[in-house]
Amino acid sequence: MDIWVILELAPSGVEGQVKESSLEAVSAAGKLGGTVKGIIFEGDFSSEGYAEALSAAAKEKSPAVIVGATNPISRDYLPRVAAKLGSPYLPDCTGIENISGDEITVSRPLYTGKLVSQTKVKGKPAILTFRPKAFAPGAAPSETIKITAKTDGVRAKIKEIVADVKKKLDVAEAEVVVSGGRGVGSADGFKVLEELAAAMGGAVGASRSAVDFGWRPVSDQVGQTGKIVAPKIYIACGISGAIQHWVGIQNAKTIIAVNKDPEAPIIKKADYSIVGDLFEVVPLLTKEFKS
Amino acid sequence: MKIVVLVKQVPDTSAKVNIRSDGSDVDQESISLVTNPYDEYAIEEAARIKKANVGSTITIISIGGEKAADVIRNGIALGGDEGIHIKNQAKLDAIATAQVLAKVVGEIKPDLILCGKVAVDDGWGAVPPMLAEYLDIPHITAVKKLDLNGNAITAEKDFSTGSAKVESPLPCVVTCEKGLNEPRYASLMEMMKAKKKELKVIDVGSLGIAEVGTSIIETLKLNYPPERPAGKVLQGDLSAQVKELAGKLK
Repeated sequence: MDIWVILELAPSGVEGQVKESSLEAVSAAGKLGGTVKGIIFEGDFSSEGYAEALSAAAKEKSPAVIVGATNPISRDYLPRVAAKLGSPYLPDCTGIENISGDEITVSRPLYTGKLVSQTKVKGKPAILTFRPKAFAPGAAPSETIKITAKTDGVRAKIKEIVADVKKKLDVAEAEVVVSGGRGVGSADGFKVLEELAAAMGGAVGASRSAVDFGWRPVSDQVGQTGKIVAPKIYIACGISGAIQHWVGIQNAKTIIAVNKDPEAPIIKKADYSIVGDLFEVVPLLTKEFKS
Repeated sequence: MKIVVLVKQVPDTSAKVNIRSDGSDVDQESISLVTNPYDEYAIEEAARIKKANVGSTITIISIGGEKAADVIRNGIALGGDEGIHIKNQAKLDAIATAQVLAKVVGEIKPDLILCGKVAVDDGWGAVPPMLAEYLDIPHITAVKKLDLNGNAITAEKDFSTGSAKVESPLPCVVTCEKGLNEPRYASLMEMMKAKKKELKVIDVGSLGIAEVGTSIIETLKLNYPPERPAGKVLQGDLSAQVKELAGKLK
């Protein structure tokens, strides 16, 4: 029984380096029993190009399960693969609960994380993507299958990619997230958070307020209508911690709150809280990590 | 330009969701229902395109029980010309939903199908690409900017660690990301007018779709996320607190 794991390459520029989230999916695949094989796409991405190529390969070689990391790209083309194959597709799985024949029960969040469900999928190949950081990374599989993205007949095509040189790390995949909310007060205010994130090797996140005020881009938003993150360390600066933000961060290993307001909901809920002005506290913390 | 906007009725994101005593489903009674937040961007984008392209029509479609009519009417109040309510009570997985929509939308033959990138209840985001596949048309997900050029569109989306410009001919399915536009509010008059609008009602059973009866995805049990242990508010002067915190984090 073959389990295919989609191995995405890191945009680090290092030849052949596989993204950590793909190696985490390898761990998950390992729990399903069977032979784990890596899938590496060749050729430029297009929704139809990847979907066609992967479906054709799956029809030919009949893997039992196709597994990957949950991210905007897998969310884009894998449903199309599922439609082509008549397969059950579930993104954002956080655990594997049970396997019985061609039925797999996984855990995954519902209602943006307010609940956790046990959901059963039935069918071959099941297509499952796992939330980054839900599993520890595993070793890349020794056997890989190269799949060439289709180009003929592809209608929606990428014409231009503009890299954001400042942003190397997706907030959903970072080990450390330094996040800012309304308390930061302005776009410029985020500079101190960027310095702390840089010192800790992390990414900068933002609450919905900060994004709605235009201080940070939508892709930095953490929370119910943004990204759900599970880093080792989440530092919430000037964020009150209402339920909509909390569901986005509740899976982090350690949550720290820095807030002027001792009554802010996040102060009780965070693992460690410092009641104080983030513009005083954050630079001091940066100093600690620079030394 | 014929535009279809797909909308879903979901629990209000600010509401607490309670699990029924048997653990199998949420307590439907206690939930306040709203239009899926990402669908609001779809409705707004349709309204803007209609304004810029005189003679365009917008059809708002939703699958759901009785109450789903509310989100259709909300879409009409915000600029929709007509609404289709596909009445359904049972749980549908994504493939079944996409098959149902393909049948109904296929008859309309729209140029553009707009919807939110994901529904905040199930978090699948699967139906739009599946619908595109069943209609044999292209799709673009999570669009943050959309421009029409004649019979084609150019969309901008986040891609890897940057942005990508995607071009596609029409017809196309486009899913909307937060920030695509600033959704308007309906005026009282528009809402009252929408209340009186007759919706086209289709019973999902009448469509004769096999997948509607079966399910390849089944929710077995629901739980609340684990409670985190109570936290500690650090004490002492700020620099001491910072040193203590750094010690714990390093």
